[in-house]
Amino acid sequence: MLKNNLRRCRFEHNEISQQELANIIGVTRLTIHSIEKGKFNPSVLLALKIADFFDKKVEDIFYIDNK
Amino acid sequence: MKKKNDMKKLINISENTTLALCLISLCGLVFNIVFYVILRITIINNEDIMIVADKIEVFLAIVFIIFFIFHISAIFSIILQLKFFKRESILRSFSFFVSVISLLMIFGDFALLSDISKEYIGGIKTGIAGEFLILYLSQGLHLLFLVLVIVLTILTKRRIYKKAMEEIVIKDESIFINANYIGVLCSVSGLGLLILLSIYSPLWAIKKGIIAITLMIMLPYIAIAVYWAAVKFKEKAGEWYDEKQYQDLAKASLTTWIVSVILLAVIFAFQYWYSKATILNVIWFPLYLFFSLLIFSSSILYLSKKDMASEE
Repeated sequence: MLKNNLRRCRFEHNEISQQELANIIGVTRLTIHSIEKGKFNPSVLLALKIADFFDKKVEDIFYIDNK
Repeated sequence: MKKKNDMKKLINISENTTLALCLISLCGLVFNIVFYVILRITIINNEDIMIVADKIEVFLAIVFIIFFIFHISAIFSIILQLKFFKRESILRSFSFFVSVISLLMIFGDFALLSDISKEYIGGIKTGIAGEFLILYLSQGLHLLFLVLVIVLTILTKRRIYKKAMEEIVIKDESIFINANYIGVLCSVSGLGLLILLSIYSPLWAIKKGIIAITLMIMLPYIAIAVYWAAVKFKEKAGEWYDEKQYQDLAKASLTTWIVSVILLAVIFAFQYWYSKATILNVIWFPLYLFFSLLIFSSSILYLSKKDMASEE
């Protein structure tokens, strides 16, 4: 199952809101919300865009949880 | 930011104009209802309606014109709200739905009055009761719309003053969600009306009015779809939705396809084995249209909303 640290990344990035992040990445707030909640798996492109914005590697934000 | 302030000013002007027209229209509606009641009593009592009609036909025409301008202004206000507020609203979607039907019913009122006068001149008084019933229901719809506009205007004004710094939205989701709320409203109304017509109306009457009724009920959805297309026209086709919306659309489309095939199979079975299923021969397409719209729009709303449990 794909999990992520998106909430923490936003917090560390001056608590940027879901809407602000959505505007920068070019998606809706609902999409960011769904990714954060683990309800929606982003495409490689979207994951790369998010990682690029936070200046991190994709695997620092997204990881597989085998539990 | 300047663009946003200009938008707020525009919304304020539009809301004030709509509210002023709404209050005038409310007086006009009371005038209309009183006139219709007097007209009906005059006809029932076999009195000359020209005595009543001649005196107030000019006022009636003015009320119709004010009503029309008010509806256009209100629809414009709702569209501005759809554009400005990033959060979708069931009340706004419902108001848009009622606004389009109410606007069409202004022309309906005119046609009904014309029918009543023709029947009066022809000496046919038996059919007038049905026309007056529709006329009164139509006034009820206008009243509902006036109340909705007042409530919506108050809420919008409060929200504009409260939320001075509304967040900017690049990728819009509110029109997408609102369009599907309107889809659900249109389809539920359409299905409800089809059931009522099937129970209470003779087949010839259904056959006569089914196309007009279907178009009238679908018009709010068509209007919001046209508005959505106009907004998206400047974007590339691939950017119309984001990837989560594409996924929701795909799931909703698949669900709609499966359910609509089952529905059509049931309709086919009825027509195949019961040769007397004549009502289905007339209403099968509107039934399919409203049913598939209901499944499609409600699936999208469910998929969009199911993981949106909380605000940030």
